[in-house]
Amino acid sequence: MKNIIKSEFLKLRKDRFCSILFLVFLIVGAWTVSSSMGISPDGKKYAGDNAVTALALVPFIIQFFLCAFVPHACGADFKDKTYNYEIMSGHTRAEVYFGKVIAVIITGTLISIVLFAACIGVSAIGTDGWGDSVQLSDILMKIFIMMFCFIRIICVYIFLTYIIKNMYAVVIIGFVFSILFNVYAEVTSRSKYILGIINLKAVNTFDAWCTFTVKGDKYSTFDLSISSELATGTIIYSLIAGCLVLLLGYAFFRHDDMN
Amino acid sequence: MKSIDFSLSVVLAFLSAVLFMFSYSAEKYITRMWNLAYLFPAVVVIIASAFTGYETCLIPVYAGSALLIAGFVKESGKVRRTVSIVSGAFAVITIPLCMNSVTYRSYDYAEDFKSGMEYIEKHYVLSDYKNIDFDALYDEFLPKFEKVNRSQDEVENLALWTEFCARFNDGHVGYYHRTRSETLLPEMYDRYLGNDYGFSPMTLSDGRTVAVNVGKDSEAYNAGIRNGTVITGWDGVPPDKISDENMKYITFTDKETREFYRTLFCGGTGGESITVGFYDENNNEQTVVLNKRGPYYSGRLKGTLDAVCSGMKTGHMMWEDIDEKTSVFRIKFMEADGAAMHSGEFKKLESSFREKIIEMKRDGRDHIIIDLRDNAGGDSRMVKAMVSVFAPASEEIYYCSDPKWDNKSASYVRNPEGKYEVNNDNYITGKGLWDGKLTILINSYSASAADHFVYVMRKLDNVKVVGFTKPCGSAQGVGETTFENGYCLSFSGSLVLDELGEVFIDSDVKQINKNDIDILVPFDEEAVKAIFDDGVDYLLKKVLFGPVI
Repeated sequence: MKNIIKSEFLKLRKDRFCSILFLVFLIVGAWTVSSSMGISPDGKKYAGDNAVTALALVPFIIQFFLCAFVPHACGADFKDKTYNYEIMSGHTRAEVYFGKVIAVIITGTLISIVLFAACIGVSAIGTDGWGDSVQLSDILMKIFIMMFCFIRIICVYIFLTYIIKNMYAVVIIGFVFSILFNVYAEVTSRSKYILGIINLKAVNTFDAWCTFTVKGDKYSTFDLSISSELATGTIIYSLIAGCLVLLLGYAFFRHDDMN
Repeated sequence: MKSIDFSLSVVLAFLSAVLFMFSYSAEKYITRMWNLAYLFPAVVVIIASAFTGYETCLIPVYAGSALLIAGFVKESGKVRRTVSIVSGAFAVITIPLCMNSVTYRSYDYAEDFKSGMEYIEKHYVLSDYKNIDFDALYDEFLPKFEKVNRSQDEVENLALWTEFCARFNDGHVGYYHRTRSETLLPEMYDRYLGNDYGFSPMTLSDGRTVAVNVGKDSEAYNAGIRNGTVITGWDGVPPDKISDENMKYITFTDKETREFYRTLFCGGTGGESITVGFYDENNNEQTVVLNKRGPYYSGRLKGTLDAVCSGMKTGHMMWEDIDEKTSVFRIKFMEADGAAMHSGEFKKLESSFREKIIEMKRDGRDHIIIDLRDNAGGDSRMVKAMVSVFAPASEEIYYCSDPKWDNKSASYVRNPEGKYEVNNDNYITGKGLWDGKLTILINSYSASAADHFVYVMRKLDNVKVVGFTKPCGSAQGVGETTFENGYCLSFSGSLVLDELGEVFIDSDVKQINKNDIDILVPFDEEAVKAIFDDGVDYLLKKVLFGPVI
């Protein structure tokens, strides 16, 4: 399996489609964040305020990146029969499946982190320092917890790809569900953990407070701290849900006739 | 949500039956995609639960749909039939379980209270100033909210929050529903403000209590009680000693205003009947037993308040020429047209005032009355725009000061003595459009930006503020938090200071509203007769025909 994982990493690194996809979303993300940057009442731009904006926008962009990247990374091998050749060459189905899964999860998560870092980095350009409205450690903690939600979403796309075996269909399904559940997540917060996208929204929610003056100034304060209950719940539910869907995907793949 | 739960149970039972039938022929189908049918119920339950949220009574549905996944993993017909039967049974027992469970889809009101308390404790800017003991409030109210969790009584929840908010003596601290307040609040007051005995008691400026708003078809009327009849006893106690239990739902920022309304708000106190003492038309003391007309004193109370307090019944920002000397300008809330509120430029307002003033001067009118009664506030930019119209040309009128804010500690900056540091002073430059007489009519519901307007305008020599009471006395910026059930908790969240660097207008623990009044019109027998017998706008009449101005 180690060789399969290595070869998957190499394949993904060399994959032109994945590279173009990454660059496109990097540019889109950075441009979106930079065009949303605001100015504080004292007339200065602070990277901290912009990072909060990035935190609100970037997860949305990453979701759409993943719904294109994961089906392609997993589904292309059905199209060109790579899975068939790997199985015929003596690898077990478990090695083939989990080798691919591990590589895709790690690559997807790393790219998500890079996208976050790039967008926050862009938002810090031309600013007058970090500012006082938010702590960097809170932002990093939020991103860390969000990664578990992204892992869960990646696992679901992997499962769908192995079931449907048509990457274009999975991309469309992922796109539609992303929009629908993001809209739903905005409307209600009844169930925090049941779906990855809704969990992501719950993690990304923070206390934002504005203080106004009669002169017309507005001071924004953000409390990005996550409760231990939310952090623990997100990690546990994401890992359990992710493992479950991966096992279901494997259960299907194990006896699939691959035609 | 309950209909979705019911549908979910039915759907799962149906799907279990279908999959049971399907298990007999599943082996015949070569393609393995049909195995996905055993995942379908779990997907349906997950999507539905994402919408409705987790519910303990639906655990059998969750378990049943999870069990069916075994049919996907294990392709044995026996396994599939077994899980289908068990899942179907779970789905069927869910419906009676939900219907008979007290906790089914119950709302956690106590949790809302905890999160609301946490929020207001963190962001309320007058905690120290008003000496609010949040720990004591938490200990007192939490058990009451936990009781509401068991009863699931929404009106009781609203009453508890209203009582909680009244403790702050701050007109900006309130709990309301975004869309249903118009129906919920009356329901709450109906329940908690006592019984209707046919009239409202009100205390006159000389300390006597009289009957007002006497129902002509009531026992009180038949017994000889009329508008203005002096009441000497209420169920065995003097009127000024009536239990003020009902006052706990009403917010007052000023103790004098509280006293003005005390007997009025307590007029529902009593049981199935009360014994009322009064002086008849021959000045003889009588007593009469009055049976309650209904358990809804709130309706009569509202009628009384409307008669005493309401402003002119004209449109917002409308002029009315009262006589050859006087015009009244009605402002129902401190906001102008949408374009002005968006841009902050009040050119249209200013030009409409210019036109009106030119017309008034041409007609020989020399008196403007601004009716601010029941004006609950709005935007401070409107205050600046209005004050600049009336302030002398080029004169800088002090308005208020903004304190310094420290983003790092998310709090206002104080010096070592504990006083707030001022960031900037706000001044209004006058345009001098009017130099004639100006009277402002207010009541205790003139609040927030209306409070600001009154406070600043009193600095002008040609202005007199008139009312039965002081204005509300709540002048800080408002913040709020919302709850999942559509309710909002509002409170003073942004600080405003006066020229001394103290809190602007709002009363402290002494409950003395710093926003004063120039002419406190006595609420006397003449007022009672004018308002309740003749149906006139007494305050306006006093200003027009004096002797007031």
